[in-house]
Amino acid sequence: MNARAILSVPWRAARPSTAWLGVVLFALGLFGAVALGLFSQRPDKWIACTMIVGFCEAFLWAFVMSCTVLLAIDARQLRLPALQQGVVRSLWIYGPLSVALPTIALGLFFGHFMVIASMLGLFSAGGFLFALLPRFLGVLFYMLPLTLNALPAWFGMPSPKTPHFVSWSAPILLGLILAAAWCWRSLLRRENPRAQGWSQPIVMQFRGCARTTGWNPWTGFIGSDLDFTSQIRRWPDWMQGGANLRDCGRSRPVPTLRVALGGVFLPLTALGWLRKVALIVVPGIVFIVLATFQQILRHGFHAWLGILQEGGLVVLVLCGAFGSMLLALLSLTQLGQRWARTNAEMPLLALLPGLGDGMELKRSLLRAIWQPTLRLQAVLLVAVLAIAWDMHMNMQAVIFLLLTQLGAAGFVIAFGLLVVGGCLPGRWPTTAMGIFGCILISVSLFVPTLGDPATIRLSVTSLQAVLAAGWVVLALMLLQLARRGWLGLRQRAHPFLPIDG
Amino acid sequence: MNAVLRETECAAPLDARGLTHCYEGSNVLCGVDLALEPGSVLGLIGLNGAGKSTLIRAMLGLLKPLSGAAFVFGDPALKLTDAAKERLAYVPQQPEALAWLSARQMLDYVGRFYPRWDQSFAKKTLERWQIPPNKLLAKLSPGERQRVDLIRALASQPDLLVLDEPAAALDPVARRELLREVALRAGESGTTVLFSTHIVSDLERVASEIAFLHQGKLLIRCSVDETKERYGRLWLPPRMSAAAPAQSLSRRFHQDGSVSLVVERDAQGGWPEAASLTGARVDALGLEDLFVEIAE
Repeated sequence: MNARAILSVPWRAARPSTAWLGVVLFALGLFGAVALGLFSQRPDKWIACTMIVGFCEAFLWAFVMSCTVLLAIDARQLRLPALQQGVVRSLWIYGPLSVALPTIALGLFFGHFMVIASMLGLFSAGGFLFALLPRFLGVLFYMLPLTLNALPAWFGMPSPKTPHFVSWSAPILLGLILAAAWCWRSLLRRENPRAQGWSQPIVMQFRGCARTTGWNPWTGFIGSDLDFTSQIRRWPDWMQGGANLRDCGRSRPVPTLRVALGGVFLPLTALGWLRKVALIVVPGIVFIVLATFQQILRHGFHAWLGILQEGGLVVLVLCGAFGSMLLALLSLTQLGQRWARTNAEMPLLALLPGLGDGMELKRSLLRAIWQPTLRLQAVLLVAVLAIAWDMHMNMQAVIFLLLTQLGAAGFVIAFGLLVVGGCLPGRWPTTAMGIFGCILISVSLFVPTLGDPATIRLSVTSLQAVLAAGWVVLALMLLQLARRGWLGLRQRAHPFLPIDG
Repeated sequence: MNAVLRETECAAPLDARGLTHCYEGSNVLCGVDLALEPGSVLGLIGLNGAGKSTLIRAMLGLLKPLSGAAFVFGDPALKLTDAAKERLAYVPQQPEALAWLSARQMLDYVGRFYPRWDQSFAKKTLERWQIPPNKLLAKLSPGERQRVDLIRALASQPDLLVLDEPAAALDPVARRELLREVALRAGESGTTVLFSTHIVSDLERVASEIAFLHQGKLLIRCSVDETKERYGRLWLPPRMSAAAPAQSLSRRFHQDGSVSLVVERDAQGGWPEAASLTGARVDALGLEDLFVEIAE
């Protein structure tokens, strides 16, 4: 392989959009860090700037550069040693390059060349190793703030401001590189390196992504190969099952349709519910216990109680409100996937007798797709409002909280109608609207609740007017989309026709 | 009321009239007419991408064609009544439905909707085909998954069985067993069967009629036995290539200037006039040769 081919290896191995995202994020991080360095007056600003670039480096190595292992696996299986060597050479080139270039850029502004290089090296190697670790360790990613908080304490990591940081980081960096090399080598030498499962490396989950050429918000942002149905294949047996078929039958179209839709719509037995709740609650409890332990060790029990009283309830409110948004996203993505597949549930339902016909069937279907999500969202709404009441949150903050919950429910109703009505807007309008809704919900949540954490008081600012206008626009858009979906549904001969049919 | 019932019973199990459909601007179906007689076994054959699955889905009302109409037991396909649905079973290509249920749960779930559901057949066949009943469908192999869906279709005891590439994921033993089951159903219960395939030997084994779909058009529709008598390859030497008949199913010019055509006997049973020219030759075509000649 010539130099050009070697340099192009990571960009050919990763999915184009992910590669672009990695590069753009890296460039933005570098520019943002330099800008922060120019405008900030704090003496230790260089650490924050290096951390920003470091996170972008970690992303690049975890999600883009790690895909080279997929190419290496293919090269090994196809007996193409030159290609396999080219992949390794590309890593030897990009590794030092991705550390050296930002080190020079940041070092010219702040000095501390060696410390910056050490920090960026740790981030890059850490990101790369993360992608090569077994999938069940991916849970560390979801606990990233806690993990980053806890790791320095566990490993006795000195501050980058201290003189012995570089001598401390050198063996750690070497250890990370060796661990990554060992993972790489053992993955390549496995009998079936393409196997999927919880003990397989995280990078193997990107295999499907690399095959797809683009994304579709209705079949999944990471490609149809990673849809919820194929995920079932990868989950262990103890996480599955629990479908409640008791109420299904000719006279009960709503539970019948919910079983056929699966996912968040699936009626569960008591044991099934316990499993699902445990899946959400257990990691949360582990997180809380670890965070509590860490805070008590650092600040003592009484100080921790104070922190909990001040901020714990705010976190609960945010979890509840974001939970509603995630629920909407999850149910709509699953719904889009069901209607996108022509050889699965849609033909079965279209030809299943006894579900009723005409508008009666369409109404049953709407109840089946709305009920489970809206019920859970209602529970979250009540919980969030009860906590807000207990916190004596002022009325404006409560109104914004209420709007975020109703907004999430509005998405479920409007886009649910659009899916079953077969008249989804295109890829870009859908994405633009999703981003607009997410930003509006996030800003509406954070600004009032975190504006003044001690008293949760909402000051009258121009932002409120902007937010209010944003909500009016969103409500009008959702109403228009819901109307369009309803008219589409009414005109359809039956609701199980594909979206493009 | 009785007249309506009689009309429904007498109506063709499946009837497509002028079906036209396109995907992203390219035509997939170009005015296809196809009707099935009760009790017939029609094999729909064509190349990959010929439009077989689209035709089947349009005939069953699983997609709305751009133009034309389809009827199932006299009902418009897009607005099937429960009575028509009870008499119909369809197995899609590579079925993926209800992956979150086990095979037993899926059969139990679907069985509740069919009045003639044969529970013991479902149970016995599941055992005979050695499919683990409590394993989630998502975790079964494609072949096992296809077999579960075939059990689902057959256990409802349909009057009309529509199978889209049913043997695609099956091993030779399972394929032969499926074809035997299809033949048995058609022979003993009078079930009408429509199945698509590109495996010619399957057609010869079980189909009473064939329909050849090529580039969205139905080129041939006749009984399996008739194809050998009715179609042939007419070869004309170079000096006579100008005499080639205008009407033919395919036409291929060779490097030496000779021409081969797939031709059809006329209403009186005779070959085109060019066949009687000196040096011209008509070869009999087997089913597979016929399809290859036309498709190439």
